Amino acid sequence: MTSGLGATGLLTPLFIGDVLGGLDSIGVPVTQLLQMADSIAFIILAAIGLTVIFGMMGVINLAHGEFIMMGAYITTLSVNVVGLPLPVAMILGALGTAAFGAIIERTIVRRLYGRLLDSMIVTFGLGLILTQGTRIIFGNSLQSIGTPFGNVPGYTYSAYRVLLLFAAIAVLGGAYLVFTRTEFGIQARATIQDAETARTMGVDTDRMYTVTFAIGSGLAGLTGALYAPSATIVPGMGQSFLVESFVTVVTGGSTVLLGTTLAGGVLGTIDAIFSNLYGNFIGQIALLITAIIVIRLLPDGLTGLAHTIRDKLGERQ
Amino acid sequence: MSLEISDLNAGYGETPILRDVEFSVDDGEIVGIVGRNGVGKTTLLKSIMGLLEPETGSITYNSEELTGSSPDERAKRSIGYVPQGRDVFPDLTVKENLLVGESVGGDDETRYEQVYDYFPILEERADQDAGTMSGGQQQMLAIARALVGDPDLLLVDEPSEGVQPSIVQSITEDLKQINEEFGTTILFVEQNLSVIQGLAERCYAIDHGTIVDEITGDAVSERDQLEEYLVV
Repeated sequence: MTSGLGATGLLTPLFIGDVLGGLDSIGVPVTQLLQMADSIAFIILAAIGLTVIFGMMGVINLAHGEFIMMGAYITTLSVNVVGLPLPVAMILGALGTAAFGAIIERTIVRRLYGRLLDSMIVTFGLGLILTQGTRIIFGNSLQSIGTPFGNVPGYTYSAYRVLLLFAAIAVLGGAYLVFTRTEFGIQARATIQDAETARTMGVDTDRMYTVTFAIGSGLAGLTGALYAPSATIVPGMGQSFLVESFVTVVTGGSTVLLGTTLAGGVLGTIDAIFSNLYGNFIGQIALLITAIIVIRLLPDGLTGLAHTIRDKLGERQ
Repeated sequence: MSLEISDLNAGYGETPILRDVEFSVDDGEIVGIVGRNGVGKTTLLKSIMGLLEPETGSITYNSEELTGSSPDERAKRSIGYVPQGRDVFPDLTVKENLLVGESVGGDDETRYEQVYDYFPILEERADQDAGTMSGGQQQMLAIARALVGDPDLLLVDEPSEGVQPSIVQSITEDLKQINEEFGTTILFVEQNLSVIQGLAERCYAIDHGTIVDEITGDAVSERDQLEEYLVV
């Protein structure tokens, strides 16, 4: 099928095939490398929306998986029913989920800031409503879009899944720039740290909460959109992202976007190794054990370790 | 008349704190609210800034009623606020804290670099997380952050609290200079005698949530009269 995704430039399957062929010829285990890239991409993309909503705003959004599912559904329906090109459908998936997130923040989540248990129960209920509502409206599954680009030349591995690693890096970099380099991002972080003081500086904190939650929701929707071509589109698909997303945010620590990057690299590697050797179930057990060890040894997560190293290097200079 | 408070009653829940407060501050003045701990000084500033909605009474600024408007709306009406305990954003850098101070908007001019003239230490620490600075440096940052919004009226809550005496002296001089240079009206609450005498042109004494005295002219520099309202 014609995906509509650009197939020119450096990141073409042919170029990736050439690079991997070169690595293969010097003895690099390419298949394992591809699995690792796939795992890292999955973990970063699974966590990115939650990084903003849970990591920054402190809202435990147990409907995070369903937000991912919503992005996937909007994308798939936009391609299959409306006939939109895949990239446009993906953007629609992200924006549609962001808009839904903004409505949920305004109507429900706004009343639950600082009420951890209540927010967990409410978002869990919201997740159930979304899953069952989707099942009632669209049935048990949707027809798949099909994965674009085929396999990496010379390998039986989806080129699209490899490209998702670059998408994950781009999404992470984009989120980092938005929250650290823009006026909105700085005001949003100030609001989340101390809303009362931010208001006395002229910040419209209500708007900040809504837009930040919408961005987190939109990123979850984008994850669903990016996985829509390669995943089975069912109402419960979001659940498969949930463990990885929470483990990543918790392991990452306080500086959430840096934490997601570090945790994505560490957990993705561990997941790839254990899933490859012992299967997906053991891979997930390995992730949970890693999270427990990291939290036990590094209470501030991987970013705490990174900051300690940075401070020690600073003292030496 | 710049700021006028009349018949102000405010409190937390069922507990009344301010009772029938009345006073006014003219344009360009530096006025101190003096009193012991727990008499309602911070509550008064919070009411003026909109962080606490009064039960009754009126707060007008440049003849416009402020009650009912949100803190961000009041900030956009050119009122700056330096909270008690500084309340800098600890995980934002010094520069980012100052950029938040520009949120009042109004024009596209960037002012955060201008406050470095008053507080050069902030330029040196521009990329440092605000929460890692000393109390005195955080106090400077809190004042600078309010100043980048270019306020006409600056509310300052106990600038000397938790700050070493040499820095307190410096902050007092900075506030005085800001008033002289820009004509910024300053209303501050304080119980440190040296700050009150070094800064205030006149004072109101507050006790049990009520303004009980106005101290003007030479009386501000008389230790005995001020201590009457400060010593327990």
